[in-house]
Amino acid sequence: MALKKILHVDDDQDIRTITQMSLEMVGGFELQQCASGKEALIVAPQFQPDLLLLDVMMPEMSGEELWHKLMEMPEFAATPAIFMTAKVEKSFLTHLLVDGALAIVEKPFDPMELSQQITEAWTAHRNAA
Amino acid sequence: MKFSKVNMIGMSALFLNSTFPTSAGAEEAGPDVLVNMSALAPSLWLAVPAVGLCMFGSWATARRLQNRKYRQSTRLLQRRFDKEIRLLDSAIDQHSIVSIADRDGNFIKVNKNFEDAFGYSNDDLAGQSISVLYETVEDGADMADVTGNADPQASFSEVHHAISSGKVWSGEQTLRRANGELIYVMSTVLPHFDDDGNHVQTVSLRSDITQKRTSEIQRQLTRMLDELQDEVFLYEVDTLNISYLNKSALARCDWTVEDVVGKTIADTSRGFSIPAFRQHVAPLMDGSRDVVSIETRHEKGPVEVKTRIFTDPSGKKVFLSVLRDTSERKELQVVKMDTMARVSHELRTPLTSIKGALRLIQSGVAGKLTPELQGMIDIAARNSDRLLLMVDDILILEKMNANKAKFEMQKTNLKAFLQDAVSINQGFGDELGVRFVMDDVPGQPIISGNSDRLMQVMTNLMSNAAKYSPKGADVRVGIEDKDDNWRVYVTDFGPGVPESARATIFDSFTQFAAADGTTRSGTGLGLQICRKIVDLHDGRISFRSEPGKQTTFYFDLPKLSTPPDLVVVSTANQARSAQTGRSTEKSDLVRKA
Repeated sequence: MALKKILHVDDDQDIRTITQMSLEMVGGFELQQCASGKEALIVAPQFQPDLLLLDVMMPEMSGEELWHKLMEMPEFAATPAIFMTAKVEKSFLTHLLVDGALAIVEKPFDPMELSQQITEAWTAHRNAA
Repeated sequence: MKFSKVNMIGMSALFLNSTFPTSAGAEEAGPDVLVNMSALAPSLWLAVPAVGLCMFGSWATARRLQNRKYRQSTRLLQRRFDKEIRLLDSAIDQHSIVSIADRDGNFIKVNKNFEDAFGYSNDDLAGQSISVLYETVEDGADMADVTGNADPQASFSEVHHAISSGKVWSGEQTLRRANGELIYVMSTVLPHFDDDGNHVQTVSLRSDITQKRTSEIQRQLTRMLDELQDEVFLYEVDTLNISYLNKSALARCDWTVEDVVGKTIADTSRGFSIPAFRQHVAPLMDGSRDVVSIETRHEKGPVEVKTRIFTDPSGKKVFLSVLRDTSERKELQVVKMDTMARVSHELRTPLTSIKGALRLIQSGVAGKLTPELQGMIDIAARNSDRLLLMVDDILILEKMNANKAKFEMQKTNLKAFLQDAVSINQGFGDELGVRFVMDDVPGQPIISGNSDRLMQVMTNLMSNAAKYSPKGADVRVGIEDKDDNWRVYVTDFGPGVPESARATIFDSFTQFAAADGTTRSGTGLGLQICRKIVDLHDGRISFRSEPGKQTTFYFDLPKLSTPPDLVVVSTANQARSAQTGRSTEKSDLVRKA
């Protein structure tokens, strides 16, 4: 299955814009964006994403919390997630990856490369499955 | 005539007596001589009335008798005096270091004690100026400063002046032995005059007080050093045997003063490596540095050790290491770095947007740009890259300081590595009109290292060299064989680094004005990152600079002696980590294993 629909959650408006341009204009994906975890929990069931692209550090609900909440829903139990973060702590990274995250994209990212990075991670995941 | 001779002997005995109140032989001789003199004088005067009273016939007999008696008593006296003088001479000769010089201060004769004490023989010294004993005793002057004794030594000319004007000179002196060692003496220098009052020779009597002086100095030093919070280690240059530890140093080792006996400096820390130590102090041994300094870890925490060579009071060469506990400083550094790291994290989010937006504009996906706009966007992009570099530098440094960075060490050929470094950095060099030239490389320089990290060091050193070079100049890079190490160097022909910058140049946020007074752009973190990386390779980074001529930054890396193809993983961090620093940070994606 080719990757098509991505749900992107980030509290920073500007980063959402850059990401949108990157994934839609460069990558040609179908993108839905949310500014918070709360919003994402409402949007996700309607959008039915193939992949979650989550910022880690967000107020109120972190990317990780959101991920766990979504995984509790049967329809998203197997939806892969990629995290984006500026906080590159070793322990932080390893436990996300151990928990099943596909990859971690470090900010700042190159908007011209992002789509390809996501596609590669997706393909590796599909091949492994 | 005879009287005057006797008188002279008596005088000289008296004279010597007054000079040596402590000489037992002289003290006995003195009063005896006086008694004999007074006994002789009346017998002479009594002889005159006796002539008038005696009968003529018996006069001659009486006179003969008298003369014989007189001669006898004079002979007796003479013998006795000779004996006394010989005794005195021998006492002085046994007790003191004696030398006799002519009026100009040239040696005539020295005694056995002198030969033993100074290591010169009579033959060595005959005709030589006594000033050879005085030659440049600047170490002795140091000693005076340490002990607080004002001027422990009188100069040759001062002593010479005193005795030339007929005075006896007495005092402490610091003189030099034939082998160059110092000797502390208590001296009495007596001028000797002939009957006409001419200064004919000089007799010097000395006692060796080196033992007393040195133990006194050592006591004072010990008292002083024991009060220091810094830890002081004194140990012999040749054997590394410890001769002294102050109280705080003893506390570090959990030793008592008695425990120190028979220990060497290598016993002070479990991780002490004598070859590494010898390498560390090599610049002291060859005289190229007065002091060497190292930051390292002891079982009890981080320390900074400054070592120098010191001549102890007995003239022996010892290492003097002063060790300072840097835990507190390190903690402060961690706090500082931590704050910086937090700020940097915060800066990365807005930077992400700025860089992302600029990248998209540059790519043209958002529409075509006029050449003018393109130029301005390029400026903005370049500077946001620079800002990001700074932020990254801070984060890398913080990680390395916290030992979070992991190094994959691999067998690396420095020659190929250096060729890469030249081609990678030539673009930057071209911008500044500087050409990187690689010198011939000796042999096969193989080390164990992380070439990404080492490339970071090279890039840093080479860009610094280029920035500080005059336009059109060469920057030379190369490798030297340095015994157990390979030395990689980068030499520029710019204004140079002032020596005053040496202490801080490898610290965070240090930017200094070059010897030409101007500073260049940079994050102020580059050299600290370099040092950190080299440290994690068990290497050493340093520089030497001749302002106005050339400056060489270099790092030494241990030669790899293990069999080929062996991959060594650094101990910098054993934990498995997806984060390996800038090289992977740049690749952005970290895959699940």
